[in-house]
Amino acid sequence: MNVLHLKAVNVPDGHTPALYVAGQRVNLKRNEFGSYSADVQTNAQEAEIVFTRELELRAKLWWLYAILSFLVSILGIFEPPYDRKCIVPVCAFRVRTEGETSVQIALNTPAQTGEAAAVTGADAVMVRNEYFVDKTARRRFAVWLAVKLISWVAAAIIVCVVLI
Amino acid sequence: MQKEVSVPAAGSGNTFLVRIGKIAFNLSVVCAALCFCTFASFMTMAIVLLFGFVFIILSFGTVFGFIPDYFSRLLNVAEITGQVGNFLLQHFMLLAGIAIGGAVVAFVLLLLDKQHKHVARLVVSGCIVALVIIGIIVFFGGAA
Repeated sequence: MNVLHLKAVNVPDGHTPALYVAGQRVNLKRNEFGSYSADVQTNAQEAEIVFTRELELRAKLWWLYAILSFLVSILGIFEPPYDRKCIVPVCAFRVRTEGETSVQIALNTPAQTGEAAAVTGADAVMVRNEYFVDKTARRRFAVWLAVKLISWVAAAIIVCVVLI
Repeated sequence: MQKEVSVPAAGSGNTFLVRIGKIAFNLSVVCAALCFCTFASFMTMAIVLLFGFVFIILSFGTVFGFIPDYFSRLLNVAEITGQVGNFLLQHFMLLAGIAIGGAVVAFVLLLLDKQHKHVARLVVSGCIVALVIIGIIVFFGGAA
């Protein structure tokens, strides 16, 4: 049984990291220094690792979650805003797994383009390594913002009509 | 040429629960602030009246020469703060309940989040529960 020790450092605050090994999501543990680590056991000789982040607006039922939180937060007044920039890191690489292998993924500062991370500790064959703007999430953010503003205007009109 | 890697559609129920926790925290902070405004508004009214009367004394009554309706103006401000205080007093238990409930929900949901630390929110939630309970004791003590 081969063991992969994976560690992600410099993960920006507010980003929820997501790590996939051979297509399976792996639970990451946060340590007191703000790094995330996971130990994965595998029989395979080689593993494909994908590091990315979760975006709330990319969830399947994002519209349901958005409506529920909008209502619970009293028309969005007490609601924390969604990520406006929607910058997503994708660091996908293959690494040979022989015995115990340690891999460290050090993220770069988020930017709309450019390399997402530097991978050290093992001979990694990079497949994809970039930051990109998730256009779907950006579009959903715009829709959410528009619906929120229209709701506020409608609520203000209703309150004025009721008071008058 | 890079192989096309599809980014998994992340975003799970856990993230939504954390969002609900933050909303509950925000609600509890506002309601706790309104609870303490219940006491503060009466204090405000008392302070306005106190300063108003002290000014009359310090000016040896000459303020009435400059501002003929000074007394009625003074009582109007006090009346408004009193109305606000009355409204908050009538709804004090509701506000306190929302503050405590929101703080407890926020504490539980944010504590369960293993991906991020919410130390400040957890500490403030704990303080809100303690302070609002003290406020309820004072409220019932005053009512008795």
